[in-house]
Amino acid sequence: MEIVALIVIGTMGGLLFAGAIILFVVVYQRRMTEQQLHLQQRELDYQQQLLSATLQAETRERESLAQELHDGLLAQLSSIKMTSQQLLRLLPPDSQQATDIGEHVLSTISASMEEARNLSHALVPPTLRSFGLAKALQHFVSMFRHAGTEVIFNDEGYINRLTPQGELLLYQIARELVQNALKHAQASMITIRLRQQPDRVFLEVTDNGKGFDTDLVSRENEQAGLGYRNIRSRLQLTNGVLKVNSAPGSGTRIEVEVPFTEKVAIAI
Amino acid sequence: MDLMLLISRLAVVSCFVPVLFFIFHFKVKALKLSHWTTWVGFTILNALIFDLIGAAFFVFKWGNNSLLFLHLYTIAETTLLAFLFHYFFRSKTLRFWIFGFLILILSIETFQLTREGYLFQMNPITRSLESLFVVFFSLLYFYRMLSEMKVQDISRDLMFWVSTAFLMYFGGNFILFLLSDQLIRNTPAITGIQVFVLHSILQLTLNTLLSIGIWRSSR
Repeated sequence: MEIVALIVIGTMGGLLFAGAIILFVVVYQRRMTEQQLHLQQRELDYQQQLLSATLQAETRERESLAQELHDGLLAQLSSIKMTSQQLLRLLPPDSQQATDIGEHVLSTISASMEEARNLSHALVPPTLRSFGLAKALQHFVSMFRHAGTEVIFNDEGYINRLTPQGELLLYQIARELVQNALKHAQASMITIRLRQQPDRVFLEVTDNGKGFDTDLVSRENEQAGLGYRNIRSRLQLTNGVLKVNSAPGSGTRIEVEVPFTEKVAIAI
Repeated sequence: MDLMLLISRLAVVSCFVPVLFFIFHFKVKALKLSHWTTWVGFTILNALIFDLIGAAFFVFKWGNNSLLFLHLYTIAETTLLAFLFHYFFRSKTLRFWIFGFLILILSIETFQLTREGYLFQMNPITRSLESLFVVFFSLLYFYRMLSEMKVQDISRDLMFWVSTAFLMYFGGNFILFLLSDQLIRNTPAITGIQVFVLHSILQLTLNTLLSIGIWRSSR
């Protein structure tokens, strides 16, 4: 009977040994996985903070540059224009050559002022700053009234406001998508829709252009896909999503979805 | 005694479960011989075939004992397990040790077979060596898993379940295999059968764990 007892004890011992090892492995593996996930989350948070800070700094820089252009360069150009006009009035009536030169100077100053104004608006549209995204997009599409392409904006209930950074981000995306539709898709009609649900904002840009193979753009044509990648990487900051629907000959529908999170908190 | 008989029969029937799970869950995957999961399939199929042969032996009363098949089973099982570990661990050094171990076990078994009457006796040395071999590589898998930390969800990792099942079965059976010959020689037959119920319980555990592993990993 000694041998039986030895076998029973040995079997139990073997099982205990195996069980203890398995328990250790399971517990240790779970702890290590939790630690790994925690580290990954911290890294992700850090990257988002970095992106957020970069975007905020960029927005501030744009606003400051736009202000400088408006209050500095434009004011100076305006003053030069007025002085030139006075100078032109002081010229003797028989000096035709001097008058022509003076008028040329005046038209050049006017063109420079227009360019500086456009640049200032492109950096941060004043309508966006003062009246928000919907009005800014309304103003943006009005610029295409005589351009030969019908650009429509539909505000389908954008009530709450995103942060200035969030609104600027969506405005820039809309502008880039419209420019893409005009430049690459040769669209004759572009529609921008802005709507919101309780927890997110949707921006949709649709065109009737020539469309493209979405797989081909992401796989083979790096340059063509770069714009979308840029938009996607900027949207990451807001936990936003970019959905591209297109096929050759069928136009393009692009939807941008931005949730109301802490990082794109509602300003009003 | 009825309970013991039930456990022994359940242990035999339980061999069907992992085989059926394997066929059902892996049928869509074109498994190649070079993939280690194929060898998991061969190993459980091998256990089923030999269990059925053993059962048929007793049902049809083919002879005094079925230990001849135990020798064949040990050779087949060790070889299949060696291939499983060979395709799983891709390091050259480990592969050398795996086949070194296999050759050692097969050589001992072959040498033992030359002994008179050995065909109808237990093979404690080779079975115990096989147990050590499997326990060692199961532990090595755990070590590798914990040091590399590539597996996020162990409940879906087939090799985790395979190693767990092997560690329980071979770890638990080591002493039984080692002393099996002594047990048969020195105790009444009825005691031997009672003790071998421990083996049936471990076999049930092995097949249950393998079935869970195959089911979880294929989801």
